[in-house]
Amino acid sequence: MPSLARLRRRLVEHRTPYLLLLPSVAYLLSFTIYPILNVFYLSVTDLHLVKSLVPHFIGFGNYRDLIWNDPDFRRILGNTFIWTFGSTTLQFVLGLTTSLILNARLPWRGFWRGVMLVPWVTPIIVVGIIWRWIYDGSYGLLNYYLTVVGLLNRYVVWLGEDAMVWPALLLASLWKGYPYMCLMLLAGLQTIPEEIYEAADVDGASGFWRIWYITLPLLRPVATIVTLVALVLTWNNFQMIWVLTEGGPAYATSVLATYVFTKGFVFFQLGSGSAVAALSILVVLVLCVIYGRMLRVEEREP
Amino acid sequence: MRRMAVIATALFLITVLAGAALAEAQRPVTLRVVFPGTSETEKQWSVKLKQTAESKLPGIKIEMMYIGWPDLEKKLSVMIPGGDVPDLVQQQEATTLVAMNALEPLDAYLARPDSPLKKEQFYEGVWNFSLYEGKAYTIPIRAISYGLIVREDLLTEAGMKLSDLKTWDDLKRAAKAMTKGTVYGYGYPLGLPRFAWREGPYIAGYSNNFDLSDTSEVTKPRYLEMLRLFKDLQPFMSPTTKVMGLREAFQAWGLGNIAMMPTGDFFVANLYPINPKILKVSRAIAYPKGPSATKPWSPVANVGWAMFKGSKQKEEAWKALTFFTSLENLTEESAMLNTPARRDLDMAKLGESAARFYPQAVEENRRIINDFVTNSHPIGVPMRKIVRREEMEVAFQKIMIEMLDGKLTPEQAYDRIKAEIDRIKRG
Repeated sequence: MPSLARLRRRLVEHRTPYLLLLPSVAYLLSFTIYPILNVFYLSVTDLHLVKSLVPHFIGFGNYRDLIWNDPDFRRILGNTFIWTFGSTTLQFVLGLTTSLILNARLPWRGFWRGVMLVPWVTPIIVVGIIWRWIYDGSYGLLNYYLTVVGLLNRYVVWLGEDAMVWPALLLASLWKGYPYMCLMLLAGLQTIPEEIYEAADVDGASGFWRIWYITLPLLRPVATIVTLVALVLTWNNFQMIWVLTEGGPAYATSVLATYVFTKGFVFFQLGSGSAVAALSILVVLVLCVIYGRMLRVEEREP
Repeated sequence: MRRMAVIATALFLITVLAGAALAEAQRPVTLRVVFPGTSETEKQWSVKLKQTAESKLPGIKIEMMYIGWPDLEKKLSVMIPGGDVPDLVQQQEATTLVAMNALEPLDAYLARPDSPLKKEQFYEGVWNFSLYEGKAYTIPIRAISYGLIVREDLLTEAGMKLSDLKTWDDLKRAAKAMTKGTVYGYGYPLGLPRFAWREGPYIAGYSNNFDLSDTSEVTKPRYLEMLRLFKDLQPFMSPTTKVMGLREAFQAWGLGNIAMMPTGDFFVANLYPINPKILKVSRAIAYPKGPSATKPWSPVANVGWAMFKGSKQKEEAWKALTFFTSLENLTEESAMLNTPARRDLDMAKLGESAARFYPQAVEENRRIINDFVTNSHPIGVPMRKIVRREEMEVAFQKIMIEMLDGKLTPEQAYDRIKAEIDRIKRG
């Protein structure tokens, strides 16, 4: 009873900030927490719209079927890792390189910074459609220009050949995603005091050593956050893959996000589709925890 | 003074409430209508249909949602469990929706004495396709027939005539002869599951007297013949076959890169916006007879309007549905696409309407539609209604890709197809 009274007193004393927080909390509960809980609930049912609109509890049956009996699930999980880590690594490398260039004193720096943002502000669907045409196996620009300069002697079906489809997807993802990395890292670069570089100059440090011993360590906090955000966003990225390949041909480029869509809205298997979604949430949570732990270990090392 | 204020307030509230009720009663009913298609022509027709309906049906507004056929099921699968169903949908094969108990049976509406629609107005085979367990769930708008589109000019250059294409061996010979340079003898849109199933193997299967969902021992030899046919035709297919959807296939046809392709009588509607000139040299024939067929079949289906059980405005929806399927609208729509579903259409008026849709290819459109009607209708067999066809299509596409990639022999592909289809049927 005393704690209830204390709670009531606290609510009354701080009613204005709590009232201001209420819409955000309500939104979060309605559009984030409730759907996630519903996904976990549906994942333990056999809901299949063609059979019945009433879900029945089946325990971990969907999960067992996915992990042990679904021949496509393991491949799709592997694709998701390729897509996520490949995209993020490439975006980070190009983003860092570009941010170092744009941080330097170069002519028309403002203009180049603006141009760099164009891929990021272009809607992802538009980007996907443009790249689909660039990669077209019969009429695409990439085939045409590579043939003209003599780098190709036959047209390549970029989105159809096993060896080429993932490099093609990662290139499109790199083009779309690197400006975000660049922007965040550029902001981080601008917080590094100039005096540190001046002191390094006095000690005779060259360009590479300045970057290795000064820039990168001081950029680590920003790089950590921006990489983690990119990992999570790419893990859940549905639109780029769907517009380019729809996860095909034959699941070759399917990732967990597109598999959820296929299971739920093509096959009408909402129970099984929810299990895929739930597994996806769990895997990405584990990745985030591992990532955070690795960084804390590095920070503790001298 | 106080009493006057109370009376004035009461009068004000009564006036406001009465006004609101009157406004509510007079507010037009908005019907949500889903119109699927694949061509620009169909999209423009959907806009015209909406405008005409709103002008002819007082008190009814139409919210027309135009989407591609492959996206139709995905859109509905989101709407149905969410309880956010539209009122009307144009549907080609309603098996899944009927199995989900999502559609309203229309027999009671048809039986009304004042109903302008009666089943006797429609061709029998076309009407029967709308029946599921004896109940009518859609009102047919158009009949769809399937066959083989051929570039007659390229066939002539190869020293053959349309009448020479009678068997699958003739088909392979023609495909080989017509493949040169940037022209491929046989088009197969393997890139999307729906078309990987239908625009090729399904039509070929019918010409060999079996349905792709039938994996019984009786059909096994015919199934293997069909798989071997596609393996034999592969050298004459474009390298982009694996990523080609139907739209890309029509684009390739329009650019003159494909010489033969199995498809339906929506061919003209899709090709006209791309390249109307190519229709001059395009003809439609029945798909050549398979080796085990006693006589070839051609799959026929229909497109029809259906009403959702969850519609809260069924009377208005029925009114709109009868307007959409009126003689005048069906004449226009049949002129735009496919072939007529109703017996009593004025064919002269249909020809005039077709000329408005396809002014640069009046004769060509008439000829191609006539080709379908003459060649495919007489051997038309209604397409089987298959529950969970969408899952079968995905599995089938995957296995066809593996077979054409050389990872499976036709025999191995058959075993895998049978295992997958049987698993899906068992549920």
